[in-house]
Amino acid sequence: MLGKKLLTGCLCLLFACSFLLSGCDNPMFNFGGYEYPDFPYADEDPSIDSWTQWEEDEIVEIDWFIDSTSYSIPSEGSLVVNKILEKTGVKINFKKATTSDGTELTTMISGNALPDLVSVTAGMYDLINNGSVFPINGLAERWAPSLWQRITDEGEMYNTYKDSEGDLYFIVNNFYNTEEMESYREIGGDILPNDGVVVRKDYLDAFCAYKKAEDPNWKDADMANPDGVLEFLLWAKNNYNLSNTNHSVLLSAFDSNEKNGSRGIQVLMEYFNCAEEDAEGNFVYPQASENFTEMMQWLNELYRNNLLTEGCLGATQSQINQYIQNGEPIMYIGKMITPSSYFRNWEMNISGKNHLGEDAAYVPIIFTNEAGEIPQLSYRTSGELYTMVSANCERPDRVIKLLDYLYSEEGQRLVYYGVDTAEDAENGTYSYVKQPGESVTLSDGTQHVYKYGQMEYTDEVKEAFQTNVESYGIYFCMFLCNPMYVNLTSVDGGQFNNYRDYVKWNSRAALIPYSYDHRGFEFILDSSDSRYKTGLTTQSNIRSKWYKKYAEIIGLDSAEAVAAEIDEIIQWCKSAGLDEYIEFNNDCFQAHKERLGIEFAYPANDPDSSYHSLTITSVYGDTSYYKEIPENMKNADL
Amino acid sequence: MQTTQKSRKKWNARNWTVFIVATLGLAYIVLFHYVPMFGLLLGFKDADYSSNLLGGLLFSDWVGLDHFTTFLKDVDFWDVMSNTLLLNLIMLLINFPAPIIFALIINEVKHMIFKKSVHVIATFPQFISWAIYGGIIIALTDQTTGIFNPILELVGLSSAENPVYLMDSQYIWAVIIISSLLKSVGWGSIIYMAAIAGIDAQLYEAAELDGINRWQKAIYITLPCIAPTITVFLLLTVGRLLSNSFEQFNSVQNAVNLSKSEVLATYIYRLSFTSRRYSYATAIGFFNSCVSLFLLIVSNFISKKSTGRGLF
Repeated sequence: MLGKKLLTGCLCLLFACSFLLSGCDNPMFNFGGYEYPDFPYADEDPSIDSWTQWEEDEIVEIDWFIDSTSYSIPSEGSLVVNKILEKTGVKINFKKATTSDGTELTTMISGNALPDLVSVTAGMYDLINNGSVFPINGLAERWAPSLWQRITDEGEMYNTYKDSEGDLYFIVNNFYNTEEMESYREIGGDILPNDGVVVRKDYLDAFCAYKKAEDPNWKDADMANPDGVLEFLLWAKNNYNLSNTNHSVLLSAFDSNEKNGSRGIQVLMEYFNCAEEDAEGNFVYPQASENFTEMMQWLNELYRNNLLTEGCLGATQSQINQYIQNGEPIMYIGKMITPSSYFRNWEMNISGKNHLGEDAAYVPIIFTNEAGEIPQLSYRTSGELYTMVSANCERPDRVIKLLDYLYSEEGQRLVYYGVDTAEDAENGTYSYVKQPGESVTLSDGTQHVYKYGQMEYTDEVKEAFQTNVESYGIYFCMFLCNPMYVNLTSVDGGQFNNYRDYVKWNSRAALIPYSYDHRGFEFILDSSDSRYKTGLTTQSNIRSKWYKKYAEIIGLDSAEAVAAEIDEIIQWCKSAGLDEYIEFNNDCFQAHKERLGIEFAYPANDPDSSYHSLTITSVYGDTSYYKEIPENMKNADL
Repeated sequence: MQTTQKSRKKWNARNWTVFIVATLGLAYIVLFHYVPMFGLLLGFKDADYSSNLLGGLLFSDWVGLDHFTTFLKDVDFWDVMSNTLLLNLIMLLINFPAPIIFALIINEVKHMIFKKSVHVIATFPQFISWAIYGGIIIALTDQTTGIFNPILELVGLSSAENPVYLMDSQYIWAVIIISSLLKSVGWGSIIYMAAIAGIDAQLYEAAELDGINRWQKAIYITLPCIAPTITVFLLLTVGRLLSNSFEQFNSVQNAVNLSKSEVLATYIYRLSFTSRRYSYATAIGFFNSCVSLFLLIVSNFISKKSTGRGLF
């Protein structure tokens, strides 16, 4: 008996000890906070690039998680990845999220198992508050003074994202520097809205011809309103004998992570002028506006006319992409970059169902709400992926040097253009057309300086862009990218390397006059405020409620039922703390605007904005922004 | 005194080996079933949005029963609970007896090759993951390319002009119940077939001498003989009335049917992994477990009173 007890006791002790011993080293037992390791500091002189300061034989391997499904990751052995390794001595194991609901990242966060580098789209302030990430400036002042010099010289990103103590915890990609945007506009560059509404051109052309035949005074701008668009959709459905099974109107797939349930709803809110700011510049809840009810009633009308069916609302994004490739939708509302390959496939007749080619392409349209308010379509300029160095990182000294390299002009040049032929004649992928600092005289007589120069790909790379450029890795390591860099340095004035790039542009180009910089609205809830946690919970509850209700509202029997249901949800939201949530949002919104030095975030509210002179002259938008697709790209072997 | 001597005699080298092997199993249960139970404390703490769950568990503030009361007042409470309970009750009525009936029918088939083939075919779907099975269901129920609309059209329940969208909220329960039935009936019948195989053949022989037919054999011999097995499984199923397979629901859930397909399992998942409301989700999970335990005890008590059989 004694032996049994002894044995049991010993085994329990053994388990407890092994559990504790294995656990002590586990990052799960690190309850927040970071500690700078004791590695030799870099040269204090910021003019010496930090990534040049490492022992040649000391290769470091790190993990980098990208919490986004829309980014491609570079393949191992590609030219760009090899060059990064050669330059920085860091071998990167990229891993990206397989689902868009953030579950992988949540699991990593909750188990304190963040990899060395993590790029997230949201939730960074929770990581910061819990001490799960290093401040960039803390690392940079020790091991990468040159990075800090770059960041503070640029200034704008730092001023937007530094905390109250001046610390910066992440580097953002797709951040548009105002000065560079102006420089880009100087050479005739334009910035596209992120999303839009597109319709089949052959249907729209035929409808316009039909209306003109009926009434010679009719102009296509006359249909740039909800009733006009509905009439067109019904005409196309009947005229082309499209059955109720046809996915005639599609919204981007519903996703619980989307702010408004679906990007389709989001962009339609912009078309219907459901702004988050009132005329006084205060934050307002757009779902409580009359315009929002009008928009939902319009969608409901599409539903009741069998244009927008349950099959359309319940479709996944991959199903939607397939329907687009088959040319099924008369109209598609929402994300434009995600399905761009399928727009291209439709134009190139991959499905064998398009005998009209580009004449049946999906083209953007512009229309107002019932009151005739001109829409404002947003483009995000203040970043998408926030890259942070995890407190679990064992070699933050090398990781910060890696970030320095990728953030530098040389790093940007590498990810966008590859290797200079002057440096490597055999494997080089681009050459300079204009040297950095070279200037040209523009048509208006002003001088434009090409700060970074201007580059052009080699013929081999141009050819590779038509099929697969993966082995080069160009455009694959975009986690710290600055899109203005390529806009300012490319001979084409941006990313125009293949048919898909042109489709991406043309699917939104005509909407450019109606687009605006969304930066004023890109505020983050203040995590140091005592209302932060309650605010997050209210936000989560309210979004979840709407997510469940969007499809249900669209499928109601009448417009009155839609209005009644929206009222009921708003009442529920109020009981869930909507008023307090709006107040908290408003405080954060005002602080954000003050930081940016603007009074109004929404152009329609700004008396000095050029918005007030904006008109719609054609439902097609301003087609002068379209770009002709080069013939050699139309025959690419996909 | 005698007993002590006996146990001392039994404690030999072989016992040590057995004990060590058993300890591995015990360690598994302790580590993966009992240790995680400490996590239930999260339901009583304010660790929502925490960056380290263990840190949240140890250092966050106690909030008592706040999360439980919030859930009871949550507007989603009745939707989620009614979906969970009603679906499981319907499944209890349909999917629980189905394997028993299937086992009884299969048992009556005398052609061995046919019998085994049918059973293998019926069991096969169990080995397909819900992710793949869900994809197959979505494809089969597709409005335009699926096989069900033409069938429904044949029987006058659908038309080519207005096909039925089977993933809609009004049909999703039928899709869930039928797909679940098809997936589990073969596998579920194995245990009953084993129980039937264990019935003394003499009982059937004696009954045959008395002139009993096959139907009567099934009703008066087979069913009573497998009743203990049925009771155990019924009690376990009742104990799981608030539990659903997360994978099953997640694979067919979409924005159109969410109001009818949101059950506790998917709700807890979304709260935990999408909203990072760990404490709240834990509280709901704990609530679920408590109700399940209560149901199990009540049904066990009723079973013992009425049939004399129970789990404990």
